[in-house]
Amino acid sequence: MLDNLALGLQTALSFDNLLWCFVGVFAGTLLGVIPGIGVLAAISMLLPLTFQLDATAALIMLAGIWYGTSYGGSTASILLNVPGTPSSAITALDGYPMARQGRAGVALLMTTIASFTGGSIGILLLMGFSGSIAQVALQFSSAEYFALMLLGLVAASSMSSGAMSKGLIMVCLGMLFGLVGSDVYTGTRRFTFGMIELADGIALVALALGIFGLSEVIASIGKIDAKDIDSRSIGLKSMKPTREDMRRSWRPMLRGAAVGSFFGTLPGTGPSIAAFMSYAMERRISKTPEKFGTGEIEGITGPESANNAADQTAFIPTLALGIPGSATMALMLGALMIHGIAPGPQLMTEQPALFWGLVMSFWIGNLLLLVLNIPLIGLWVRLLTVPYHWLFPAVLMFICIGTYSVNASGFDVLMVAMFGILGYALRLLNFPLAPMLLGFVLGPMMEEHFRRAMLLGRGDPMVFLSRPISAVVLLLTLGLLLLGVRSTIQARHRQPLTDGRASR
Amino acid sequence: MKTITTAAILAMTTVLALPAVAQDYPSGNIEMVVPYPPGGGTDIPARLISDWLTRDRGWNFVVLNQPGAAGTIGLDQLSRAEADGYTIGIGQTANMAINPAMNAEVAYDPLTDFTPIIPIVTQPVGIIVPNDSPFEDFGQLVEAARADPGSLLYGTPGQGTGGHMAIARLMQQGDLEFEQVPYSGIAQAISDVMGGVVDFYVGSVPSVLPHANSGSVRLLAVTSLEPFPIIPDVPTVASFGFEGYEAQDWKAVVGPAGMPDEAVAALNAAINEALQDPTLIANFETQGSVVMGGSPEEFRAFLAREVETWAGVVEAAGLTAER
Repeated sequence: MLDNLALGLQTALSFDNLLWCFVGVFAGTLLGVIPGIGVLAAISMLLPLTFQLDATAALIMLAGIWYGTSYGGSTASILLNVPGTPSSAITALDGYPMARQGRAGVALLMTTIASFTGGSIGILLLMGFSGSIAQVALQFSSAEYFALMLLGLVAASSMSSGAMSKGLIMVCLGMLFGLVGSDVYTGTRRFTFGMIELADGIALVALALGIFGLSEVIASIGKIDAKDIDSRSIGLKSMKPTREDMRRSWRPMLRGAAVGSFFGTLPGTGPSIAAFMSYAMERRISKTPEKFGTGEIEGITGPESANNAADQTAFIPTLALGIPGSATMALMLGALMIHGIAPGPQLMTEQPALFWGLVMSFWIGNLLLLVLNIPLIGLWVRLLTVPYHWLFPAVLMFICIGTYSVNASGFDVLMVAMFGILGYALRLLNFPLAPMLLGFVLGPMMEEHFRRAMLLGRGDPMVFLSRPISAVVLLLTLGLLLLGVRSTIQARHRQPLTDGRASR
Repeated sequence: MKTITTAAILAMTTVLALPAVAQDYPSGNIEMVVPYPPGGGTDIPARLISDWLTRDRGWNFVVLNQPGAAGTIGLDQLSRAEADGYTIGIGQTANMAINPAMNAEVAYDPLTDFTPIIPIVTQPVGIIVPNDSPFEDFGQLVEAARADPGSLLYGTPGQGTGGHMAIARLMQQGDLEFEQVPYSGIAQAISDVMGGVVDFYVGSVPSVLPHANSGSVRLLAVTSLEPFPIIPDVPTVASFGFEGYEAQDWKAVVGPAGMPDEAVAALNAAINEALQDPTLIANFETQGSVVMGGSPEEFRAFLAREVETWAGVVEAAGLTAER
């Protein structure tokens, strides 16, 4: 183990690798800040560059972009209410209110610290337990995935403040949008209206940027400048979190890291789901869940820690099993193949310098991101002083470029426009938007896994209960559901007249 | 570096020039449309070939990934591009032979809407089983299926993929019955076969070979007609009494219909030369594919056979699109 670490450190600290690590994380954090240009687009654009590098440097750089975007992604969420990446959409829920209260600096600093914490825990798991975690991940089949998604949906059912019914309606709407595309099992096109562009369904980036990003831009039209921001709130001093902030944040960060590490490891789930789950969990645990959405620090430190932890543990199935859990991970394995290295479980033993060099570069990269991001906060916060009529056209342009670059598809840009209008209408009607994204992400996955589990169980629904992990998760879900019902009844009982939510 | 600079200068000076005279081909950027995501099994051969041509010939390639709908969106765009030789792309089994027969929205005809240039690589489909599977060889698997039709579950990376069609063809030829469990992509499918949730899995050799090599699954058979050169010890499906059985996943360079002959000839000659390069051959082999090459005419005939074969399999499996 020590030999490996030394080898890894030696590899990661060579001048070339250090340089490319810096290039990667710098590009990543910058592209993360820019709304629309997500990690997949960023990596695809920079992939050709890696042909000229050796395999280790190539992978170090691409990985740097991958976790770097998660650091940058929260910036636009917090400052502009426009998510930089889909995985940081949830950060806007409490981050943006914090910025409105003049606490943008604090929010940005805390997300950086949370990102670093989550990332570090993820790397530790990757270093110490890759093999055994990968073996556990193999125990998860469709029945388990379905149970987990159900748990997540139940846990998140009261995710946003406001009327519960509106939240549920939005979850359903999201699920309906998620149904668009080819049926995985028969290839039948559903709700595609004969448009081949919809055969793969609606792109996540189009939906997320439309309902969160574009609708925010539309909503800001006609508003006079963002001058209601206190000038004191953009000084360096304003970055300093209070003792209270720190006290309230460390537990969410650790919980977030745990949630994130778990979902990062499972192929098919990733940073976005991790961030959602962490937010739902913090809201469940909180003594003041009704305050979520108004600038609660737990609402940003949990999810930001979770998405970074998931970024790092996503490498566990990729490197230990050769199973890429997401399109981005597949791309990284592709970069290896271009260099003539066959990815797979033997990578760790056959290419120890590459494997450990990459892992150690994660430490260097995360440290670089920490020192890179803290001074930048002062700069980013100044963005708030830029008048909207300068800022938002630029945001709009980046949204278009970013969406287009994912699939080189003009159709996706039109989808953003459509979802922007829909998002704006829903805002006017006071519908919460986050549950829609949740339904969109979880709904199709639940369907896919439910049906596959039934296929594998040859039509016997007992498959969900006969597999131990799935049974335990389903029991937990039931418990959570009962708990929710009980607390609702109790709340009604205690204050039958003053409970506004129940009577609304 | 020098070649890149030269190529860049060459490209910049010629981009502004009038539509190129065919004899000077190529005198500008050549756009290579890859209808699949970057880093994937189709993207990598495309990039390796473009990279070789850029280095050796100084031709300037721009690889454009246009993924979506199993590779048919990008290919559809390509079929509508100007046939001047400056827009070419990658077609393969799924988007040229299988999907046009399966999906009504696919607007192009694989035989008349494209100019065949050259096939670059091919790979068979591999059949893998979990380590603790009772089947020692492929023959036992077939016997089990005969004894109890429909009792075996097989995973594929998706509906209409090479793996799905390979088994569909096997079922038709051998009068067998298996139940398909489609996955979306390889990740969870491989994970499930390792965990023994499905009886076997069928996917391209590059996607299964690393797992077989590491001993986490067993590769029982490949679907090439002859034993596959890089893994000669693995028997073919045909050798178990399925005479003439074959399922290939090939990748080829094609252009829009009506490309100038000079451009076709120049591209074909250059790529044929690239496919002789030992380093490139070795690189393809580590990924689990072998190089093809040949003349445009040979490719045209090959393409016609493939389209006919797979359209027949799709039809017999009852998956034909209603037009």
